[in-house]
Amino acid sequence: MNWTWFHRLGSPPTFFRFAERLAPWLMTVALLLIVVGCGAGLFLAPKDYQQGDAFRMIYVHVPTAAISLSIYALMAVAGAVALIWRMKLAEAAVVSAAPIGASFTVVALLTGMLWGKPMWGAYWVWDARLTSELVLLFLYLGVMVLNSAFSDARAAARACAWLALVGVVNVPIVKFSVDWWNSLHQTATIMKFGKPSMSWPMLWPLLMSVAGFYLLFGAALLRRMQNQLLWRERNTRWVAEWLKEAK
Amino acid sequence: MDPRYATFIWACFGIAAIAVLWNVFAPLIERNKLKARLSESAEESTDQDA
Repeated sequence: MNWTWFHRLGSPPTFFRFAERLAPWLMTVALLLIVVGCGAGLFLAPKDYQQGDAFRMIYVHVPTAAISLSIYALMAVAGAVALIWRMKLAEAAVVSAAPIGASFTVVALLTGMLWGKPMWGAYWVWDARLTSELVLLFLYLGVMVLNSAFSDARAAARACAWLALVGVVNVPIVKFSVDWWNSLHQTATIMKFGKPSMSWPMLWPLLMSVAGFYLLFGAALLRRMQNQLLWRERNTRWVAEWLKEAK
Repeated sequence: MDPRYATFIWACFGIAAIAVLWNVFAPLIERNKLKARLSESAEESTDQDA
């Protein structure tokens, strides 16, 4: 199999052009999936027999919580690649993913609080799942602050990569906290061994919403990485040519 | 929709909508600012060369 196309993607100008073509498509499909998934969750899915309509918050809470973990795991992988192979794209991925991850973590925490009030009687409890998710938000904010603290983009990215690698230990803690400790938070609904504990009319909008949020992350990451590359490579010929074309 | 939960549910979807829109538009706004900044510095360096 010919892998040259893949190696070529590691070059900033090739990646930039690739992202320029892919991002609008990803974004369109993502928004469609989110609108249909959340719309169906709000208006078509049947009520839960225990939680009634309150369960509809699952259609934004679960996708954002799941993606908040995935983004951090991806940052750790990109961080390892950046530190070992000094790949510019991996460095750009670490620093670009952090604000997206932080935004979804904030949404997961806020929607969880809004769900907690009617179900548990409190917006916040110092439960293992909630606390470890809050720690995840601080890790994202740490990466963002660290990135802005350096004037040299490459040094900043390397520092962020280290923090991403060290902080990834929190990801399994968030994921398995509900199994390891007594928690008010329920255990896994979809991602578990055996069948998901949701009926299909409730499940399909959730799957669409999850897919939509993941694609949205993909599109936003591509866009942010492009911006990173433009800034880092501002003195190169390809950026000068792009600027001329973009005028 | 059950009125006991309606505020919570709509607030939840509202917050998510804000985050989605921020993720769609923030990189585009940043790109435009970056483009303006790079064009400006390119023009400055052309002036200096002249």
